[in-house]
Amino acid sequence: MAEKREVLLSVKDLNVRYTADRGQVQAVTDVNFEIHRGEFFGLAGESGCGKSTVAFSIMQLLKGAAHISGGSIEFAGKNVLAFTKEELRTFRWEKSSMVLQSAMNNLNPVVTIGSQLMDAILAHEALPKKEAVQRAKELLKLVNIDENRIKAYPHELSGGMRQRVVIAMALALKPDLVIFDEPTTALDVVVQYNIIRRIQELKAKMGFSVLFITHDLPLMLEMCDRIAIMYAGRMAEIAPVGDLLEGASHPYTSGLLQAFPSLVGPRKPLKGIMGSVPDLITPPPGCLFYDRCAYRQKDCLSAPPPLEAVGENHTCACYHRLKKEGE
Amino acid sequence: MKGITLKYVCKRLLSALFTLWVALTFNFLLPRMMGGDPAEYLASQNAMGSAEYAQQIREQFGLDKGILEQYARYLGGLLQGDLGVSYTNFPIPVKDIILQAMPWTLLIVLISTLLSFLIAWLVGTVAALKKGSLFDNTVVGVSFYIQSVPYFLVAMLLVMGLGYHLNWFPMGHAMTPGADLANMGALVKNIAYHAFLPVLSLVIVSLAGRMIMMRSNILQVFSEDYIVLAQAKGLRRSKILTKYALRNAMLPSFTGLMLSLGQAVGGAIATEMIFSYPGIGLTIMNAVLSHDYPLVQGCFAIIALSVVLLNFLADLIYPLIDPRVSLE
Amino acid sequence: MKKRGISKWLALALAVALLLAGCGGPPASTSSTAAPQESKASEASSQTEESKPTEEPEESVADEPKADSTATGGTLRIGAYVLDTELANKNPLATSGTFTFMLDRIYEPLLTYNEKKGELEPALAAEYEWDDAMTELTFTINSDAKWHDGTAFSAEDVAYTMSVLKDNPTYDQYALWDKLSDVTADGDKVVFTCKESFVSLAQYLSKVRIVPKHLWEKEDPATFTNDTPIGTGPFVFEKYTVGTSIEMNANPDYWCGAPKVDKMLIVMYNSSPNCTLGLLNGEIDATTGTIAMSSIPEFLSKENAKMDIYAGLGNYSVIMNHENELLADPAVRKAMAMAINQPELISRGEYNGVLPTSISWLPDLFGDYVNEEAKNSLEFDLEGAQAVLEEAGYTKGDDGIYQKDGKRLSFTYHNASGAPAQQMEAGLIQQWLLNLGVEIIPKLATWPELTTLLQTGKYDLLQNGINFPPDPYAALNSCFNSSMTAPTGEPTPGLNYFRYRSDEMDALLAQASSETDEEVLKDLYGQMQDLLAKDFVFLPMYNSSGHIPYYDGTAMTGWTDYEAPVISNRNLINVHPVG
Repeated sequence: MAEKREVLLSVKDLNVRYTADRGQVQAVTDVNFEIHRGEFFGLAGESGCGKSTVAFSIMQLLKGAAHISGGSIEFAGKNVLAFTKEELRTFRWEKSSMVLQSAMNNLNPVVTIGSQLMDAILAHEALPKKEAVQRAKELLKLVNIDENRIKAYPHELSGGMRQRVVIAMALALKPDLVIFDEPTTALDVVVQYNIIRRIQELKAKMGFSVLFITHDLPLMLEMCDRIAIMYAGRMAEIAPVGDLLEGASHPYTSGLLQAFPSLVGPRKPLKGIMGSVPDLITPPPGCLFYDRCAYRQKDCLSAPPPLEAVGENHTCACYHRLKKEGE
Repeated sequence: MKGITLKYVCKRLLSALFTLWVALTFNFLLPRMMGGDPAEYLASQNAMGSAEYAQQIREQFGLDKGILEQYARYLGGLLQGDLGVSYTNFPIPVKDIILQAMPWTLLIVLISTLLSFLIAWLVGTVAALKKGSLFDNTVVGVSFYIQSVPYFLVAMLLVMGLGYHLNWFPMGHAMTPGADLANMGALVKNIAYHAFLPVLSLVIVSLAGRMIMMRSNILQVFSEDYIVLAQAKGLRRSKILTKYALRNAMLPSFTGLMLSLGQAVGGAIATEMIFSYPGIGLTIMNAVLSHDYPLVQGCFAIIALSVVLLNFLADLIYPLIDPRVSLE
Repeated sequence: MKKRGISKWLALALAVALLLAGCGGPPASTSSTAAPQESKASEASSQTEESKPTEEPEESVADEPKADSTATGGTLRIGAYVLDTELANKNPLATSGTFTFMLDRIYEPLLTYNEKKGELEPALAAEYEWDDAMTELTFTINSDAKWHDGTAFSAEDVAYTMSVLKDNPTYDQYALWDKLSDVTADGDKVVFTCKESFVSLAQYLSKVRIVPKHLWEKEDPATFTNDTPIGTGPFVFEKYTVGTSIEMNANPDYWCGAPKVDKMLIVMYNSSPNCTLGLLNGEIDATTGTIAMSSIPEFLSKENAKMDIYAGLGNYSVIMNHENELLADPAVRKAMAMAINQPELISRGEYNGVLPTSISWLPDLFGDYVNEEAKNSLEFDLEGAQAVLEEAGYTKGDDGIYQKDGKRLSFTYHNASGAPAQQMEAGLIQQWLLNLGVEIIPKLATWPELTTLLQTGKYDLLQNGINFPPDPYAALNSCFNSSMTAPTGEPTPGLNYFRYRSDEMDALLAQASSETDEEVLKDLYGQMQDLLAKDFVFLPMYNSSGHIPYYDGTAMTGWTDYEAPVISNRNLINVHPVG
């Protein structure tokens, strides 16, 4: 049972649009969720469902034609969307940091990892160089990398090591929230296991909240406290892991859970979810999952279902929620 | 030096020497593949086509020897720094001709190459930063336009406009003819005043391509994820621009710069013609037209040497600026 | 789309700007003589009756320079198309790679050739005399002449100079020592002894600049580059600034009178258009002959602008290979010669800046030796040309080309690449030949390649210039004697590229070679020219004339007090600032 902890991040009615040739793409629509202090929060969904967009919105790093068209993002009570340039700069990394997918592209190839670590530090704290070097070395130790590699270039490290460097960089200023955007997708399972263990250890040690974004639902079931499922830019369900293990409320979540085969037990044919994501420029009326839903009814076409509470810290957006077993 | 081993340097040196040798051999063969006998040509110009005169010329310059022997003499001479004697300017050694023209050539071409790269980088960066703005569109539009204008037209417009009609700048020459320039200061000012239009013409024409390349390099780098991360880290904009963006965007331009510098010793024929500027370019052209083998060979040997040398330097410097380069 | 609109307007504005600039553009074509060594002021010639493009009335000329009390001082600025490499060697005896205009101001020969009068005039020799057999020529040297370093000029210097030519055959451009047996100095006289009669020796000696023995005997003349030239001429070398200018001071002790100006500044230009711009801008008072021909009209429209035009020692023509089966037929050659509009060629190709070459070869500077009748015998007549072909049995085919016995009149036509004026003139001629009914296959080659083609005879028609020394015998002999040619495939020993073989011509030349009587010689040369006019050996274009642009009355005046080309020493010493 999750205790009532302080709300760190509160996202309310977030809407993100971006301008494409054919029209406006509704990338994120009416997204609501909260992350508590010290919580391991997972955000899952298919590719293109908008989960990365949500993450970038929090960090105010939306690029190009994408813009936040409505809603609010509050961090520890302060409105992120109203930050000045300088406030934003200090928010980034001191309060909230990010670990991106495929760290090879995230590290400047022509600068040593030590230098990049120190950049992160020195941008926020005025330290003498020697101290900054020391801090960088400590960060490397934190992620179990030999501190002598501080003068190494990114291409001289393995994929797993690079990811650990990026994680160390994210923790440089002891932020309150660390966003992980598909951090292990490009790595093999053994490395992935190590990385996840490392994250859990560091979280236990330093006490930060985690927003973990991935499409690997079973992975999240192992690590997270709560999981949010997004579909086609909308939030489908947010539930504590315990509740989900007993049975999903939203048909989409249920379909996802069944889609991942078990390593143990009898062989079963693969069960996917038929169909594909609707067009986000001209979305159909009603629930966006309608075409693929096994439990659809006529009233699902009226309007997209709102996100409603169905339990302790558990919300779901469906007119015909699945009953939990045993209810 | 980090990472640069003796082995790497030796490998690069051998590669450079081999390239140089190939270039020098072509250098030797190409003038001889042009039709026409230089001895006969000189005889027709100076001695009413006298065959004895032509034969004397041949003996004098060893043109009557077999081709292999000529080649051996040529290479042997090069190793000793002897570039031979010019046919059409006998008895002046080719080396003297080149040395005389080189300072002016380098002055104009080096300055304009460096200026052109510098301005291209600056303007390209600003245009990339302000992508889509009026400044950016103007710069790109004007650049594409100027790129299609042939050099000689730009140069002649400058001579006619700023020189002949407006009299703002001299129409040619390296210094004022017949001027008595007392001190170094006056001399430098005079040279700079005369160099302005030639350098300007060269900069204008070479600027466009480099500017567009720099701009697209920067735009491409901006779209890389490490820039996003750098912004996410809360780094200052200036730091992101210099340490993260430019450090990567300039790499492709670097080799271009070294190559351009290497070719500088070839002079700029059109510039020298239009501005009556003393340089090696016209010398080369006239040497080719009059089949003056030693002069042609000598000039092209210097160019080959310069390009190979600068390439070699680039090979040495590049690993220092781009750590990804393998040193094997 | 606002952004696209702006780029469009910008492009339009720039295009308009370019167009406007292009209309008032700079002079385009270079001088007709485009090969680098050739495009300097040509050799001497004499004044012709043809009027010059200027409208100014003829100035009265005196035979001796005027002695008057006009303004003196100032700097005479003369522009030249000359490259830095040509200043590396200031040896006046070298036959290539030197700046002859400068050397002719510093050094002098025994006699100078006045192109306008067609006569030899005294220089370092006060007078000369042949013996009766015409095998011994004695010069009395000019006792007023002095070297620039103060040393007196002596007959020893002449003997020394000739010995240098003997020891270094590459300096003996005209192979004089083939005919000389000895040159000795004796007091104030120099005696030239020849193996056999050598009528034109004096003319050839006008091309030999005398060098100071006391300075040269310490050097090796073969490689001496003569960095500080010491001569006897009206101007003394002062300073050379790389690629920019040459400064010369007036020689106060010059035997013919000190120049009225203090200095001469030769401004160097890398190209003919750039030199012309300087001239039009008033940066210079005159050039050594360099001017972009197409700018001649613009130049002459300026106040005080004048052109001095006189014949030179070279002819541009379309050289025909007489070993070509079809060109061997005189009717074909005659028709082609009549089909070319020479006046239009000269006006459109060279803007009347040159004099025409005549079908009889000898240019006007040879004075009395020129056969006026033969010279004027050729006229442009297209219908007449076609009639000539038809009378000879040629018929026009359906393609407009004449043919006989199944052979069409079709020839390759070579001219120089990289020479716009040459190209344009070739185009005009090719069109006229096409109008006649002769097919032309144009081909381009570099100047040296053209020379090789001429020598080996691997061509049909070839447009090029042929230069010759100031000797009518040499001009005719080396070009038209059958001993001066070779069959196709072998290089010619002389200039008879035409492969012209005429027993009659050979006989006349043989006679002239040993003739010493002036009148007989005139008659013989006259007959040779008649023969050439009858045989239509080549298609004449124009003479390598001197064409000197200058301003008379703006900054400087006094250019034409003496009847000689304005850039000859006798006039240059009189040039003075407008008072």
